[in-house]
Amino acid sequence: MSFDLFIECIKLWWDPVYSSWMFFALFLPAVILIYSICDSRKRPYVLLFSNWFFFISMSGLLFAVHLIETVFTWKMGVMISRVSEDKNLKRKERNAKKKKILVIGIVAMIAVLFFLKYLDFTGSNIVRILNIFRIPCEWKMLNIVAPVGISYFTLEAISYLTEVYWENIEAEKQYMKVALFMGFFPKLIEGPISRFSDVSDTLFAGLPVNYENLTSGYQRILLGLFKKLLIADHLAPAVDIVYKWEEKAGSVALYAAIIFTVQEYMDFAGSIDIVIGAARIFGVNLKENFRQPFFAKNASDFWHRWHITLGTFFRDYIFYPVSVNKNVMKLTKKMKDRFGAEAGRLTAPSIAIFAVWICNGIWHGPKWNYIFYGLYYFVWIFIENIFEKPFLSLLEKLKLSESSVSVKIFRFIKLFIIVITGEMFFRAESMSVAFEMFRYVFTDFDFHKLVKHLGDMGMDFHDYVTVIVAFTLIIILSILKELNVPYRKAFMSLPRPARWVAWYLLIMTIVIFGAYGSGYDAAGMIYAKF
Amino acid sequence: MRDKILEILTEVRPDIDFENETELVSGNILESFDIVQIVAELDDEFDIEISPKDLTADNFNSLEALEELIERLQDE
Repeated sequence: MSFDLFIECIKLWWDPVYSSWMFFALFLPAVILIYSICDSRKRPYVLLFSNWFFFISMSGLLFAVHLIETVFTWKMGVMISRVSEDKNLKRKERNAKKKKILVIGIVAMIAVLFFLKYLDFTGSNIVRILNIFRIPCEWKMLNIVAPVGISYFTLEAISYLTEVYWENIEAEKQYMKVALFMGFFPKLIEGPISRFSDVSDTLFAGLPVNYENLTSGYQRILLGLFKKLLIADHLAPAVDIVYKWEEKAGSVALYAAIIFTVQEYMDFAGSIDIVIGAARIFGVNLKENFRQPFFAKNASDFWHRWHITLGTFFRDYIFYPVSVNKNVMKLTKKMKDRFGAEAGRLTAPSIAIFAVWICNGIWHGPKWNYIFYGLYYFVWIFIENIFEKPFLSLLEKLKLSESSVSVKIFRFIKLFIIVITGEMFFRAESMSVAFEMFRYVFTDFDFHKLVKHLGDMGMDFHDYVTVIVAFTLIIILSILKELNVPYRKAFMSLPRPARWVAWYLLIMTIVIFGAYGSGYDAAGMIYAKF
Repeated sequence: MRDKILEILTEVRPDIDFENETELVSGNILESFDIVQIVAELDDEFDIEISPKDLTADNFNSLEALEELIERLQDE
């Protein structure tokens, strides 16, 4: 049997989605079983081979890209570390040599990512520009397929090498550990983007699977399935239909923006719950990726609560290095001397957030919508930083406190409009469609069109009820969490039979009302595409 | 040194009690925009070079931590 045929056989029954029963009821229990019967020294190897099986079953021979990148990252880390320890070199020489290796490492990994994900996009856009200048040429699409999770493990590798370069961590001498960190199967497909120092204590320790981790892990998985199957996947067919943009009306565009925002939030947050739950079973605590994002006070704060690990990656490895760069600092001083303290205050962060948001947009994929989405947030965050101080003075004059209900409602409405408009541009089929949808909201709202077609937009009455009830429950949980109400502690203090009844009810709810089977085939994981 | 650091911090964020606060970064009190501004002022005032690797919560969580960071960078 050839290797390709073997992969095809696996793919026939293997559904590479964390929310599929094959993951949490077949693959995960099988790994737990094998992991548990091995001793602590062999357990990390069980995880490593599970990663590789998981990867190969999804990306076949493209696994070679992952394998090469893990070997490369490991080697580069060791090389940086050797230079750091070389006492024969002067400090300046040592730093320059280390920097050279780091730059080579980062450029090589970004080059691979660019080749696999962005070559067609870049090539076709260059050709388009040349055609505008009447230079005849064409771009033959290569349609290269990238391996699963490449956008995530590339960032993790960059983070690892940078931390070694900064001497915040020691380079790992064992290849196995770097490979296990970059390929850990629960977080492989859509993060959270992890730092080596966050997981190294637990991931390589081969900790036993204990009752507490097993139950709390599976409880978190159930919560994730609730979000994904009851909300996100019920909305998925409707989102696909409305974004075809056949029923043109402002009301439909607004509806599309709202339901996609809910779908994306529940899809990503639900998948991350499953990921964190699965990792916890092995004693590995991954970083949280969401913190009640719609309670944020502004767009900047929203990104401190939404896809947190991507935000902190960009903060630590782009925002800060750009902000404290010598040339940027010099420019800041010039701006301060010439235009005053406020201009000085804004110069360095503005240059840095521009770099961050361009990278954020591009990271999401080779599409102009994503680049626009990044720049859209750059503009909002820039505006908010300029107007935050005048806004606070205005509140003082009006004798309103920042924590007053009216200010909170104002901030929520403003944030809600910013987020759903951003999502409209993010999800639309193209930029021209996105602008048309946006224009219709103000020029041809036509509410009756939405009401008339609500029943034939991929969701029936039962779907609507399921989504509304389930999402209301999630909102209530979010409010309790934001208010620091210890609801989980209160739940865990209930008598065991009551807790078991609650868990069974949750399982039955997911089984009965979850969206799976025919009609819901399209509901993959949104963030796995990036 | 302590007074000068306090003056710089208060100039950037007059609303924060820097003398008693010990979770300036991990408690999300200082924002990244504030940190960048503080870095620029400290670099200027103490003739040091705070690099991206120094921009950690541990170094910026309190007035004392900042004092230690500056002393260390001056020694280097």
